[in-house]
Amino acid sequence: MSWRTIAARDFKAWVKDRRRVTVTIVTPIVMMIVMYGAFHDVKPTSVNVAILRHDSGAGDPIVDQLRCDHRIHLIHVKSVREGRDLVRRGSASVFLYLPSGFPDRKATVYYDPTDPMGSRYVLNKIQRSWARHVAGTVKSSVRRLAPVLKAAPERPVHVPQFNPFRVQTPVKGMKYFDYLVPGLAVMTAAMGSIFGLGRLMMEEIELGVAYALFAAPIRARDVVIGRFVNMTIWGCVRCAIVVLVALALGAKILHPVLLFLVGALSAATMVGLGLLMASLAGRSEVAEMATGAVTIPMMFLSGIFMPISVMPGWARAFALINPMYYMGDAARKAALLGYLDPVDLLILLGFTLGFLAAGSVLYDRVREYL
Amino acid sequence: MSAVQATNLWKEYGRVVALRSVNVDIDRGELVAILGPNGAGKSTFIKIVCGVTRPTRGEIRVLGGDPSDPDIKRRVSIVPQQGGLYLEQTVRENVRFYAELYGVEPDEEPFELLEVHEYMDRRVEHLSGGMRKRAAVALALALRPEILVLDEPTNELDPTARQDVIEAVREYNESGTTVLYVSHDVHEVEQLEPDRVLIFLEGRKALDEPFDRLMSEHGSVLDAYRSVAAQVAGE
Repeated sequence: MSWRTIAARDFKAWVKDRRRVTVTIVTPIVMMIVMYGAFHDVKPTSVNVAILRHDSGAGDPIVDQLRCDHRIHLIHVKSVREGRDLVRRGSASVFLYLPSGFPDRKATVYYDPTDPMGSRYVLNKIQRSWARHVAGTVKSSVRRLAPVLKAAPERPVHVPQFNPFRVQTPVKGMKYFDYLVPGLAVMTAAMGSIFGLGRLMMEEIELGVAYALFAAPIRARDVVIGRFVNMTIWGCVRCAIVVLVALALGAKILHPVLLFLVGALSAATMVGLGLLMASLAGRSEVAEMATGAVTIPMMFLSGIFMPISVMPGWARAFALINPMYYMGDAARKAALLGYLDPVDLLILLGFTLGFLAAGSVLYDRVREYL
Repeated sequence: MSAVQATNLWKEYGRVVALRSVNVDIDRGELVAILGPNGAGKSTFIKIVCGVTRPTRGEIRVLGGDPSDPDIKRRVSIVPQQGGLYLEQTVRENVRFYAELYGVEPDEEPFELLEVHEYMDRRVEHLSGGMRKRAAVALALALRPEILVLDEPTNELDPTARQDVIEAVREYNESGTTVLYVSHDVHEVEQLEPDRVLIFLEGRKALDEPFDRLMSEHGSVLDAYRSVAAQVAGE
């Protein structure tokens, strides 16, 4: 079992290297704290809203709501042009114009597309406050008409429910941070391994260790398997740290153990890819560049940061052959729904075995270039 | 029985021919110096002997078997040009690791002989180039090989350390270990006083002579080398 000797050596070397252990443990903790600080409450902290009123008080419910919100700072302007200019210059995220005759004449909401978070927040605020006002008006009208309707021999009309929906979700009160945690867990498990392995293998070539290993009485695949086992273990350690820190910060993870299992499989998949890339590249700087060039598009087209439903057709098609898509999907289902998707797991396992097999064959070719 | 027997050995890397029809027969217990400039094919030859790579054509037998067979590899150890030691580990940890891979109990004597025992517990990254090379040679000897292959082992060594390595190699050779000593330094080969000298030029074995005869015919290894190089250039 020579692969055990290789894995044990790598593991001990890793444990002994204080800098490496520190980075392995501290990086996920710092990353989670930064992410929590940045995304646990993704409402804008301060939004400027320019406003011009020509209405006769009909817009009061909207303006009152905006005024009451501590995140919103109202700027009263004197003309439509001034309001639009403020938005164009970036001094205001939204310009709201309430014309005379509002609500019969429609109000104008002019927003800054470069600040989607701020403008979306204000738009929601405006729409919600108006919907609440309309609902209140309808309710009071219905109340006023109720005695008349009761006295009528037959009810003349069927009045539908004002809100016929009951909105339900497995995890109530989910924040954007909760949505990010599964992706962060699998990415942290995977990314350190994919770049670390290439560097390690290339260092071994430069130090003559690869030469000595090829000359040693072991099979090349034992070197590959030993390396794969060690890197996967460290990927699991990083994943476990992320999950524990996320729980400590109050993230909603329905099933942490399932998320950890997905993280472990993700680490294995990406270690396999790292092995493949390193064996293919042959030199450390080429390995790093090639790995970066492959993994960055994979990451952004994986649905981990943005749902693939909003992407164009070609990007959705790419997701089907992108292991990171299955990593993110399996992690989210495990963490937020408490469900281990067998299809995702089987596909990830297939990718892992495929990468490992191809990486072993290519690693064996390295001997020719020593 | 031969330690190394190569018959009509060819090695090609795409269009580049690294070895052209090399025939070599090395007896057990011989100390053979392999000399040649960079790119002459000497490193490719020892890569094949150690089972690191396979020839494109021809046959190679090491200790009567296939050099890529783990049982044969276990009986051959190598000192690569770069040393082959893990930097972040101590010398002792490197020894334990390779001994486990080779399935042997390491011999402590080479570490005493090459004065490596003084820094066995220091990390390789904290050692000088010369200390690393001594450690690499001691490690290769500690694996109790029947064939020891050294690829330019005295690079980075001061004259005293070089002499120590050569003496250690000779001592093990006298006790029966076959040694293949690769070098491009003619003076080092004279210092080594091998049984035979092989000179590789442009992928061919250009000369294969006992050291004593070579010295008596040419006076020095350098003159022999020049004479052979001129012959090959004339062809």
